[in-house]
Amino acid sequence: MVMSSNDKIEKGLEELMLNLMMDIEPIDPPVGLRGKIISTTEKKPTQAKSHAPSGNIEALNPKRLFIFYL
Amino acid sequence: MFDEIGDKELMSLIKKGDKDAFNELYSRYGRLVFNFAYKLTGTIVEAEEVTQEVFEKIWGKRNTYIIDKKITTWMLQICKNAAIDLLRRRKRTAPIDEYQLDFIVDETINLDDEVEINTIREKLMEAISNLPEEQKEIIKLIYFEGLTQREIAASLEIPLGTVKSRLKLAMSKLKNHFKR
Repeated sequence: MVMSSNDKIEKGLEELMLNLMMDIEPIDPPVGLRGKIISTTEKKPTQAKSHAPSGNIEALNPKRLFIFYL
Repeated sequence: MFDEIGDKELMSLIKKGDKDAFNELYSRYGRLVFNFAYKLTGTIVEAEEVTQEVFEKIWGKRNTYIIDKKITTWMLQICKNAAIDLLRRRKRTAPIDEYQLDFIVDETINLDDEVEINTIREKLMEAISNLPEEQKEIIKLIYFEGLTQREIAASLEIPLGTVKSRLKLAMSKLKNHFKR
């Protein structure tokens, strides 16, 4: 699908229409915002933290192991 | 590079993890989302936070996006939820009444009646063509060329304040025409 100049006008009209409906007078976003947003793509996905002991029981701290078996 | 790519193709690339396509998505819709967030929160700092959150969610949930869904509907819905969450976390109320907010936001987001949209577009094009030349130019550069107000000031060699005042006048005239 090609984005022609007609598509650009369509998009512009849509944004203008939304702005008018919401009574928005557009302002420029802060200059650094793009950089902050793009940097989020560099973040590695966070791993889910588990509170349950892992399969490797020996690797656990002895104190935690003791509490686990209580 | 992305000039010839439509939104659906752009989202397909983003789903594959293309960061340049994501950058392009911000170029196309960053201002719309930011201004929507600004309307909902009332401060630039919070609008920035919300916009950042919206794009983080889009990137994080890119695989759940259904290509046939209209992108603006999806983004503005995420933006509305993010803004309301932020205001609740800070025990603040929206600058406009919450019921009014829900009504306006839902009406805006759910605008999917093609006949109605086409009628509004025609009215808008007519209203734009009736603007004084210098105001028409600002509207075209902002909305059709995607320039920032600073870029317009630099390219037309006029003060930023002049751009803002011409824009304000133009928006006011368009709003009046639009309400008729």
